[in-house]
Amino acid sequence: MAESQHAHPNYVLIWAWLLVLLFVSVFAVYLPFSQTLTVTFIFIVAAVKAWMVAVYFMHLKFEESLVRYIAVIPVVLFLIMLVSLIPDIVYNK
Amino acid sequence: MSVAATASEYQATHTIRGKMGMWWFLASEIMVFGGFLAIYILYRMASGGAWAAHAEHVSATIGTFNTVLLLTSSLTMVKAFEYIDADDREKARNFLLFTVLLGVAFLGVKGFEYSKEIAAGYTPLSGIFWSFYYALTGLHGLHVLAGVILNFSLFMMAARGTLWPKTQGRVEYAGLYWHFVDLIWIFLFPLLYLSY
Repeated sequence: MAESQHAHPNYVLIWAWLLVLLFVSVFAVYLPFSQTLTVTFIFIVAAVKAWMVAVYFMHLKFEESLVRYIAVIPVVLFLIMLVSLIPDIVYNK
Repeated sequence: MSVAATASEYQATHTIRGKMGMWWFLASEIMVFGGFLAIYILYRMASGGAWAAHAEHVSATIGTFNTVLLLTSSLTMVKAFEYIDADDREKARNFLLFTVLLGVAFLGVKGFEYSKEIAAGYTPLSGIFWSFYYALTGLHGLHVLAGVILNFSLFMMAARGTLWPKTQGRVEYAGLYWHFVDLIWIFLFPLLYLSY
């Protein structure tokens, strides 16, 4: 039984993009920008890479909405937890 | 109702259960790593840059090399799934093996890195940055090890031919887990190796 439930994108191309983005973030450290700007940029690149892995390698692009909710809700909860703790831990000295 | 229809319904139900089970598990894993990552990020922000001197010591070169290994293993894993879908059993088996070997290589490099750091005097007790470094990469490493064992057992089943005709769907679920482990590393790498 080999029924393909969804299309397979060009995985090699996605992998190549992931490597390009990896080297972009590695070399961004050497650019003459402020630390805040560099770190922000590096994490935006990481988020794009993670998005590519989830959408293409983990096929979220082709999944039904229930699977997407299961994947996205914990990420939202994580972000809420992170942001809501900033005042207490980072600024409460 | 024909037998074929019943078999394909059985398969469809199993696919949904298997995939849903894996996604539920991964959702809980997001919270496991999420709690850990959040507290690392928050304490590092609170430290006001005091950890940078320690963070500078980790080798970005080794970390980058390991990232390439893990990203490539994600490619070989998804190719194994693609060949499962195309019913090309030989290639599916080979790509499962490539994934296992890349996972083992990642762990080997990580072990080398640990030994290098410990030899330089940086142990888990050398300060809060190092405690986090060993705990986060250690927890991730255990996940890589679990994935390697899982993928190796699938490879053995493929080599013996027992993966088909009922259980080849497991390659997709094992793939979801493997990509998740890769995804965690995508964030661990800049958090530990590039943020100085």
